[in-house]
Amino acid sequence: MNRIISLPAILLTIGFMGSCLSFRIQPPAEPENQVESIVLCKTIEQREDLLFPGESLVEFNPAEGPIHCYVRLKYVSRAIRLRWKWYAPGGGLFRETKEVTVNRDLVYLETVTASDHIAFEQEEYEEGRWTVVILVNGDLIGRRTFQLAGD
Amino acid sequence: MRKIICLVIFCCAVLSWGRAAEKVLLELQGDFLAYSYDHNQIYGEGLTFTFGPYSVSCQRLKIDLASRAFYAFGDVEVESVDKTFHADEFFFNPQEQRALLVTYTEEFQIQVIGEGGEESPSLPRGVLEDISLSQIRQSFLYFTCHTVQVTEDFQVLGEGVVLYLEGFESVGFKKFKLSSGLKQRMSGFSLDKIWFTKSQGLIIKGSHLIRSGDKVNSLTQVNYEERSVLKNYTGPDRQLDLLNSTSLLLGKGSNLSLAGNYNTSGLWNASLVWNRRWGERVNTSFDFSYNKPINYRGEAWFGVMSTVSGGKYGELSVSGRYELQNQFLGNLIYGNTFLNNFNLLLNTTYSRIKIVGSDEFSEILTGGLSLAYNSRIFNLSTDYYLNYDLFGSQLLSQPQLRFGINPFSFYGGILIASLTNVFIYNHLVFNDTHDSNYSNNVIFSLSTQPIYFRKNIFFSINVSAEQFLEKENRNFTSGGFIGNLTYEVVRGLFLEGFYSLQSRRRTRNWLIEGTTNQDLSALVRLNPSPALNTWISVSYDPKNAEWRQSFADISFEIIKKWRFHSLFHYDFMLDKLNNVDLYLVREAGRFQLRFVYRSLSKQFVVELIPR
Repeated sequence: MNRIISLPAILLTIGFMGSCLSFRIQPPAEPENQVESIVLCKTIEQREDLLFPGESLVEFNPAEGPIHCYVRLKYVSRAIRLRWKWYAPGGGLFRETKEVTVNRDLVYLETVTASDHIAFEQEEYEEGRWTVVILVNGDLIGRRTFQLAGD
Repeated sequence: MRKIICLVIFCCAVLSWGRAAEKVLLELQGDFLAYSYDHNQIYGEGLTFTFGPYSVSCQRLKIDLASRAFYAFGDVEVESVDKTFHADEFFFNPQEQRALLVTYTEEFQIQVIGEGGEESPSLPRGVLEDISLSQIRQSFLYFTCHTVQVTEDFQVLGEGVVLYLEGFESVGFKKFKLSSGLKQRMSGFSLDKIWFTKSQGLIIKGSHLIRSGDKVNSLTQVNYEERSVLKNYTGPDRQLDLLNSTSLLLGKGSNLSLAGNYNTSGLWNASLVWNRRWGERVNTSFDFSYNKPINYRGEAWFGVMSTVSGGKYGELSVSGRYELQNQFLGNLIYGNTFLNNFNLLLNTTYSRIKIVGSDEFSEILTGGLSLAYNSRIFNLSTDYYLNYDLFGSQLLSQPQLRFGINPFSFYGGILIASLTNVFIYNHLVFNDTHDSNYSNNVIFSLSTQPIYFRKNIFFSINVSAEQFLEKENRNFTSGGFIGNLTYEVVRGLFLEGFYSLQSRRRTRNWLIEGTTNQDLSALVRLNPSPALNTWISVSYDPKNAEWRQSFADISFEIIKKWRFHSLFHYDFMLDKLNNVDLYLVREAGRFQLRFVYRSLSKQFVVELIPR
């Protein structure tokens, strides 16, 4: 009787465990053009070939200078086209950059950094929540929002 | 023993199959998918999935399961039989089948899919900005694969999974569940636990849930313990616990709940409660309960409790319980705030309870009345507490008066002072004996804001005095002074000095006796960044001219969210290192892994602590 009960139980267990474990699974290929960080900041610093952002902020005073949107990408092996679009609180497009082509030589780049910025003449800005989107090859890869307020 | 092993194996298999049959809320197919157990987040690229009647494809996807946020973006295409949408962003809720499409052209356009959405939706804020593949790769535990299923209770199953432990590739799995998700039970039977230890024997726990919409919810639990397999066990061979908890929604503002518990050792209890809400302000509950303890007679209680929310007239709560052997419990509470600053609280309880093991009853009446006045400058409260033991003929009454001056600043805001006084009077009547005593305690405190000598050197002091007087003349006067000098040598490096003087004097008529303590401490603190936080202190007793003790707390980041933390204590009196605690901590989102060594207990412990 014990054998009759134990045999199907052991078979069931092995069947379940066997369907779980496998030693021949290939990990999916590492994606290219990975977005490592998108930072809104007041300053950008260049060291050797790369750009580095200042302190990440979500609130800006236009009188204190330009607002930078910095992007850092990883594993770029093909030519990519970067574009920034800045939207005012009302939803209207405030600024759109031309497409900037990176890696025309088609070499493998471990890190790519780039940035765009907006600046305002005195009191020529709309207070409220602004939006900036970044596109690679026409596809959105990230979005950040920030608050713009005067003194 | 063989029977037990067979039973355990069989139950494991049944349990595994039962769990595998969970309903899938969302199935994602992609070129690349990664799931972080630490943060309970999913990141994917080149994806397709089904959302209600729509087939969705997108470049990238982020999901935060803890906040139930689902976000697809980059060349999003949402296609049904008769319609196709193109967008840059797709925010969706697979449970409620609602979604938001956002397109960035000359202006951003927002479109709603599904019912119940806002008429003029706004652009969602902070779209899972913290989720990135880099962040997932820093997890202690994560997996990558091509297919992920999210179940209805937000558990995550991966197919063709490669598991990573602290970045190191582990074995592969055809199907793997890593998340604990939401503990949401489905109707039906569940075998919750089978456990065998040499000290406890075999433990089996099972439960059955009946759920019918929101109206009926009934959970029955069975706990079985088999101890006949244990050696040298003197108690009963086996024990069975049967517990049931049922709730029924009878209508709007009315529900019935039933709870029962039976144990083979001979105790059982049951209770039935009917809750009824009469409008916005009145709630009433009627209950009946029976409790049969081991070796004693059972008790049957009937009770009623009502709460009335009277707005500006205050809050009232009345309850009464009667037991068939003539036991009784009654309670009345009234509270109100009036004229903005006055608070009144009245609380009275009467109990007539049978004394265990006899036919006598204890009868106690207690009451409390509190009236308090709070203003910007001072607070004043009077309390009256009464305890009347009707069986033992003992009456205790205790009026109190509290007065305090709220902390106030003066001398240009540099000095801050406060004063508190508490007077308590006790009167005890026992048979024909009267006894009374009283005490008064007054506390004064004066402190300074930091006084800057230079930009990086500042000083602060705190002085306090306390006097305690009572009828028996056991009077005390205490005083203390604490001075603190801080010098910031460079950014993040501080030198601090503390001097403390405490004196406690006992006065009885002309005799004054007491003690004085002094302490001089120096501290070096180093915290230039979040990655390094360290301090070392040493204390000296100037009165007795001897070193006391030294403490050190050293904490710094090693690599990849691993942090080393250590605590040291050196006792100069005993001339030995008293205690050393060493911690190696891995912060991993929703849990923390700690390797701990404690010298006092000479223990090395590995702890996995949920956050």
